[in-house]
Amino acid sequence: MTSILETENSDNQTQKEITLIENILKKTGPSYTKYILGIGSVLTACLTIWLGLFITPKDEHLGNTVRLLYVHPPVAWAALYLAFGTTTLASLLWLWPKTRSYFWDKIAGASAEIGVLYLALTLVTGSIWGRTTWGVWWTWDARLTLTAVLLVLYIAYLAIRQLDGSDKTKANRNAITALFAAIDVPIVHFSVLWWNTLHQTASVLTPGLHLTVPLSMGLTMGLGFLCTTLIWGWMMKVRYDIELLKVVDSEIELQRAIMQRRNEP
Amino acid sequence: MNAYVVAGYTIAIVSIAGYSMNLIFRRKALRNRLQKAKLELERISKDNRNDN
Amino acid sequence: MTTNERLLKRRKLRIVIVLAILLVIFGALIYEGLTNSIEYFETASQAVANRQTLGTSDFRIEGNVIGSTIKRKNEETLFSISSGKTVVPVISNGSPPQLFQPGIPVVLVGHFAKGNGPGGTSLLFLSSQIMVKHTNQYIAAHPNRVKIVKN
Repeated sequence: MTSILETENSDNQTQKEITLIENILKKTGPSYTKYILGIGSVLTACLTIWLGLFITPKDEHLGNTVRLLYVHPPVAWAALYLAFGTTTLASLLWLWPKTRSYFWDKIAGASAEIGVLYLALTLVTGSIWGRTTWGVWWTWDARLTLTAVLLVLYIAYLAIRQLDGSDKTKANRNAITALFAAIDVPIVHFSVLWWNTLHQTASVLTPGLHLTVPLSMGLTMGLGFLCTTLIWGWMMKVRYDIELLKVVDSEIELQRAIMQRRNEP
Repeated sequence: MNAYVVAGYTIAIVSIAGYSMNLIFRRKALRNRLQKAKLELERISKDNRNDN
Repeated sequence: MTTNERLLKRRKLRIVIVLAILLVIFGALIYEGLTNSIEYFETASQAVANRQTLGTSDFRIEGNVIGSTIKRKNEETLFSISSGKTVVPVISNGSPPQLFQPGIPVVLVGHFAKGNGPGGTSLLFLSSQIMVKHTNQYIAAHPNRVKIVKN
């Protein structure tokens, strides 16, 4: 037998859930931010490809191979400094009590996932470039080896994020793992200075920021970086939407299970 | 143009586009699920009101 | 055990297996790094100075290809590399990469030949692989200039 009070309670609960879903659907639906990031990504990508493949000059020594300059460094910067930088910063913001919020944990995870994609692309495009320039697909110099280590570390971070626990335990564990993985980022950056490597030293992020490339190449690289940044921004937004939807979905699922149990005789 | 450059650009474009599509589909699937759940909840709440 | 618990346990097992595999790869990478990357190459002058310890074992040597010395003989490429005032003659089997040209810095895999010098070596370097070391300097090719004039 159900009392009137109980029916009303469950009706209230249902209304609450409906509002919750409505809000999340609105929040994860179309928005100006997503349109601007999405359209900007596509436009800068097209422009970079056009300039990179057809407009910029060949290099005196490398010939057409130099065109990988507009893909490899932008993807590498976006992975190391933008994506993993965001993961590190967000993890710190979680760990610092004043800014502690699950938002930061989700941001850290989303950015690391995109970073892993970008870093894998860095290794693949670098390998192709190495084959044409150095004559080998791979060599165990410090830059290459440490970059491979970095990829392993962040894949491990993503795996550790999947481990179970209370929300707080998970977020703490994630943040500490992220900080551990981040140690390798500056080591990769300075590896070309600290050790003898086959990989060349920086051409834009040099100590005095002196470009070692002609301006047209430098600008196209910059455009490539803007492109990988916009793509990162768009992916971050959609990836974060997915996290929000997952939270509401599991909440609704939980409520449904409780209701079902209550209705059982 | 040389084959290495074409391969490099292609791999980059295909994998970034692939991951983007994956994200879009995952979001769409979750949104559809929740939309369905919402419809069901609305039906339940209507039934409850009719019962009273 | 409920189905849910069993699923959770299986998920955990899967993650642990992934982490274990990653740990093995991590270990292998660190091992390769420690054995190769720390002394990735020795410059020609360092190598000549260290002939006693290097002996005829394999290592990587770095230097600039001296332009006038490149000769091709059957499957072999003969040339000399320099670093500072040191010049090392090289015999390399295997075809050099496309970018191989006078004046370019290269990293060679190989060893000193047997001889009467320090460490039982001669100054001749036998190379099994040539890698071209590109610098961070990019120069736009001038469409009207057919030949590249170096220095």
